[in-house]
Amino acid sequence: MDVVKAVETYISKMVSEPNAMKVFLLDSHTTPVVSLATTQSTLLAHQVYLTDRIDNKKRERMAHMKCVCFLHPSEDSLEALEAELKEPKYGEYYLYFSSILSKTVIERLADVDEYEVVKEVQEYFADYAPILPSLFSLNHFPNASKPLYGNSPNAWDATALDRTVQGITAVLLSLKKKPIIRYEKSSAMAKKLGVEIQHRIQTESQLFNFRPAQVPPLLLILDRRNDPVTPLLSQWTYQAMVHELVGILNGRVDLSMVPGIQPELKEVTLTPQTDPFFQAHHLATFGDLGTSLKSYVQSYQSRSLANTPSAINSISDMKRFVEEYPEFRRLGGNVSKHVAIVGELSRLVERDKLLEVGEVEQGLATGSGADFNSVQTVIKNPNIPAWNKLRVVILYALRYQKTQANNVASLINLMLENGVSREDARLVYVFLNIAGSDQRQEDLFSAEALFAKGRSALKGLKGVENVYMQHTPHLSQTLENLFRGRLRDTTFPFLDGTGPNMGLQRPQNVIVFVIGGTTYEEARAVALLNQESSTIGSLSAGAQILLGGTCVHNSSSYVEMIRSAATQFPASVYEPPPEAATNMPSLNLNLGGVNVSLGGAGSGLYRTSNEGINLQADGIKDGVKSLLGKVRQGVDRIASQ
Amino acid sequence: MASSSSSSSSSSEPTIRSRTLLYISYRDSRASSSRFRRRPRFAANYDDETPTLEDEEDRLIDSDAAHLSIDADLPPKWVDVAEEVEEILAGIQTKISSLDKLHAKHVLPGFSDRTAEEREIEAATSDVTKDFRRCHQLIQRITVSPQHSFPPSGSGSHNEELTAKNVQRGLAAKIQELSAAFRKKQRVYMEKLQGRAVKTQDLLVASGTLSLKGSDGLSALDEDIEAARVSRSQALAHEVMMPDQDLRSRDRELTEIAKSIAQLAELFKDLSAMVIDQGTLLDSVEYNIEQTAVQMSDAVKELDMATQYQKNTGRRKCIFLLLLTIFGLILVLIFKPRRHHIPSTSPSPVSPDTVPPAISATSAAIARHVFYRRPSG
Repeated sequence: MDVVKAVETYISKMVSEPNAMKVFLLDSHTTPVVSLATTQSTLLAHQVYLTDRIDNKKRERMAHMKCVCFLHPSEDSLEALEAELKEPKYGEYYLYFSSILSKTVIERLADVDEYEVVKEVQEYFADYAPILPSLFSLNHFPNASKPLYGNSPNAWDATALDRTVQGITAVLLSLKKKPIIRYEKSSAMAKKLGVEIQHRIQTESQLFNFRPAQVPPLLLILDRRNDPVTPLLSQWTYQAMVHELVGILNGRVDLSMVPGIQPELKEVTLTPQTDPFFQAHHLATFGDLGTSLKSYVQSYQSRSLANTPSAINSISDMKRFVEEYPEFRRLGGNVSKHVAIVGELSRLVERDKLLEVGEVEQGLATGSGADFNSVQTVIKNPNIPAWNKLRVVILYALRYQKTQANNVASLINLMLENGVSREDARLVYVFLNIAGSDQRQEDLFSAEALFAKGRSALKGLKGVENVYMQHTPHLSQTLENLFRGRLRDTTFPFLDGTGPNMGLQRPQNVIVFVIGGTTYEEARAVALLNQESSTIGSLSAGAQILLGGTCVHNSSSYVEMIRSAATQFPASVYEPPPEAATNMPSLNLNLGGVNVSLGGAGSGLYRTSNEGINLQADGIKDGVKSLLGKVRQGVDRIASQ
Repeated sequence: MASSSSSSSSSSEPTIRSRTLLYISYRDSRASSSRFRRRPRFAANYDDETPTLEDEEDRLIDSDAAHLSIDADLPPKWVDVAEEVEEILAGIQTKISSLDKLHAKHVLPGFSDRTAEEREIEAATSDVTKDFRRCHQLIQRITVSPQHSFPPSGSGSHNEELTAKNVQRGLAAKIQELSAAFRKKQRVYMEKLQGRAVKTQDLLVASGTLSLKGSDGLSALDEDIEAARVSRSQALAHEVMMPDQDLRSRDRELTEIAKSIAQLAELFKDLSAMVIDQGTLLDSVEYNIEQTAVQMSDAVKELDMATQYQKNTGRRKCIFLLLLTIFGLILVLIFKPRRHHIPSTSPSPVSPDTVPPAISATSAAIARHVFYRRPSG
């Protein structure tokens, strides 16, 4: 269940085939896959002396070289390959495709191969980006031209669905797993995807002919909409932080906008496979990271320059030290890379007041709760960028959608006064409509609230470990339920309706796929569970979990995805959601300034900012409040159960 | 992953499906249908095809294949060099393993005369060292000889250059790895001879379970040089103190080994400039592909510029020529009449008294000159 190793095996098999000088041709889809799984020096060791894109028209003829192609059988790549075969530039061709080839495609290629230069045609199912041993991504970052959703938040875009099915099929094939499929009941997309994958497994039964395991592996399909909170939070572990604040794309980090960066550090690679320090610390919290980085720098210092014992007490000290010794820099390129990255992270945390924001966020995301006032102070703080204010308000809205709707409305107003644009503010309603509590299958917060007291008591005994790390992603709870055999068929049904005792079996191999993108926080939770499972007697003993998603989100890419998706949805998505307290409709009047002002003019946004109506609403509210206050609490209690 | 071993046994080899047979069958069916249209163009194809009438009628130089044939141009020179290096490296590997056996035998205590053995070891060691140096020299010869041919081959040479560079890097890395292992072996042997403690890491490297790469290799290097220096100086000191024949020969041997380690360390350092460090951006496949694209577009830009210059030079030459003619004509205008003036005016009896100033007279002189000459023909 190690995806990095699987892809690595594929690629080393690919490039070791003809024992001669080779050219390695890739396309836009396979380049990141290869790049994550192998390195230039490994390729060089396999006599691959030139890597290039198949669609690069300006390659020159080198008849003395042999050519290995690794392509995704997309229309673009096939056309480029046909052009290549018609006028071959290299001596022999070994073709590898990342996905199942249809017979028509094979025929098409055979037709243009006039010179009989093709020696091999094979399917190597490395059709996904292996980021960590237990994390893969399909690298599908939705935007306007490549949408994920169709015209409603319950429908797939056709090409995205096709691509996702291909990706997951490749994962299953490369790991030799023929799974049973469970999905989240509330998500129509998850069901659709499950059906398509099942169909693909059945049509390609020849390929999926593996030795059956005692307990079949499980493919659990989740929907991002059931946990919109995790990707919105600030992150405090190394890999997640880098992705959140700077961005990791295919193992590369762009540091060019860092002030005063050295030219050789403008762009760096950051993958655990090539970087021992990152391998050891990519899950570490920011605080721990600081201390381990310090000792890392010191160990290098003592190794290369034993004679100058200068004190290294802060990150700026480390920076100065690294800059002072060019000889040292050559040896310790890795050290200077990490110092630069961590320096940038701490600069951004300082600049954007992320510690303050993070505390409020964690309160909102967990049972401990955050009061209205602290959110207000965050929004009023002129030093906090508008982007972070928006995130906090979205989190507040998701958390207190039902109970404090008028607070949400006033927060939106406050946010508008404090530098957030109207365009952005509309997203709060979009979030409530797409991933609000009515759309979610399980309440993200209620379970936390129930256990919160017990937990906080425990924490009180242990001492609060870290204020910023209180939140655990919803996924870990789902997995916990799964291993305890408590994942109910009603909420996570099996695709082919197998018997009731299926739910009680503890699967050894679990592949979790999140439609709409996963996060590094969840990847960390999975990695920790995997580590734990090696100890006997733990909850997930012996089990291996693999996490994947259409992409790996940080908060900005997640909000961008929702923003671009919303443009395809019916316009009502921008309007405040109707409250869903069906059993007590009379409460509607009271429950929200939002609803009272629904009659007001203007677009979805202005309705809440209508001062006059709000005043009237306040009048009515004050009267009814005392009377209905207790009723409301009762309703909330019902709703939370 | 700690417990992946249980699952890895079942999934050690990821699924692969070969479609080659299907492909070839498709290709063959197409080929047989258009057999008379298509002609074999590879020399290799002649071997497995039975000579038919069609083949016999084939001309030696196929007219339409001339511009498309695959093996038309010779590979660049460095291909041969690279092959030579690969061969030497393979040779070194066998030599090292045989040397290993000799070392093992020699370290064991014994009473027989061992000078022959020692000599053998010495010879093998110097042989391997020499091979490494030869590889090093060969690698440095792998460069694209700058082509000053006309017309320039365009963006192609960039590709070639890049490939050559990559060949250099790849081979350098291989030599580095091998030489590091060899160096470690030498050092372990030397320290065994001296009866000193051997570090476990060195043992691991020497036995080939570990390989040193990049910065690790560099830091190990300094240790090696230091160790070599120490043992050499010790050996020299011994030589002075104890003139015993046996000990002296052993010390000489130590010195030899220390020297070879030091030499290899130098070589390692030289090569390190060429080798890509692990985990740097240069090591990223994606980055390299992007760089090729950038270089390509740069090359195209340069080429565009060059053609523009070339066009411009034509135009410029024209302008320059015209300017030159104008200048020349002006010179002619200034000086020619003077020369003509004297012979033309002296015989003329018309105006001896009114000698005009030279400059004002020039136009008149020309007019006169032309005027006079034309009727004369």
